[in-house]
Amino acid sequence: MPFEASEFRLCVESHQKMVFSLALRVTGEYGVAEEVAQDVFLELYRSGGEKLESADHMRFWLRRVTVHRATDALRRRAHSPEALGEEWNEADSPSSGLASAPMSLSAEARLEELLVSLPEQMRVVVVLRYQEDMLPDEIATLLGQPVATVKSNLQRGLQLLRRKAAVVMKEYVRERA
Amino acid sequence: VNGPNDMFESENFESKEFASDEFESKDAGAEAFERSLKDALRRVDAPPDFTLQVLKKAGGAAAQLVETPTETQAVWKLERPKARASFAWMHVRWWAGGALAAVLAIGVFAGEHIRREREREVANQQFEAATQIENQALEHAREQLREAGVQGIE
Repeated sequence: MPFEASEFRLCVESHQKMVFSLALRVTGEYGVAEEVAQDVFLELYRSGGEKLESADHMRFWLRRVTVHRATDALRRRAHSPEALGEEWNEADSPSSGLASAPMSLSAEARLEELLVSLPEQMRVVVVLRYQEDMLPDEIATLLGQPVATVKSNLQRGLQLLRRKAAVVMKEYVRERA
Repeated sequence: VNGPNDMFESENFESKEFASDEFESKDAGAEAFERSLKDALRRVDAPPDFTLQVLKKAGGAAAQLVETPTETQAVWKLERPKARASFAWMHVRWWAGGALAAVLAIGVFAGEHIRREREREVANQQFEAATQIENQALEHAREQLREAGVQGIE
């Protein structure tokens, strides 16, 4: 096995936070994210990691496989939040679904929850941009998509997220007043 | 109270296109929103037993590592140009660290041994001095008794 066990353990320890966080933000579920992240590392171990020439290459591989496995997991789930996508509008009640989170949550926690309601493609791009701090062209390379598509998804994702956040925050302010 | 809302609302943001060069030019509300988003999307820790679970599932040699103590705790970050080279370098550092720890342990042990030897030597000297003083005092008492004519003191 070209990937020594001790090397593999170091790799898991070094990258588990990135892989798990990525899986968590894409799937929106802790248990599913854990499973996805484990599968990604097992895939790495079984592949032997022979073709990974550098730390950057390994990070790239881990991110790409995590996104793919996480979106696969999303698609397998029956209750995909995809329907909430672009059809969502301010008239929709913020007291349903994710927006019904306890009012004690911080703005950041609310944003994180709202993220799960974004359509898959937008969510993935937003997570890669703001969690992994990747530029649109890096995201495009990772996802194998044109840069314009990535930028478009990013723009629309941000707009949608911001509109939802505005409604939820208004509700929050009303509750506190 | 208005604070949290400001960053989520902006007329400019709604109409702004992220087309090519304009990607980085956004209004203040959009920037504040993105900062909040960045804060919200900080990486989170994996479950505590994540590594062990992965190693167990990997089976074979990796699973055997579950029984051995962890070499590192996220200290060895794989941030170097060549991951494979960095693995080798990590092993070198591991052995160097082990050797250094062994030398330190020997040094501490030797230091402790020397300290105890010195204490023993000082205690011996004090004991000998005390014995000598005692003998002198005894001899002096005998001398006085002899001078006083007391018999049978030897």
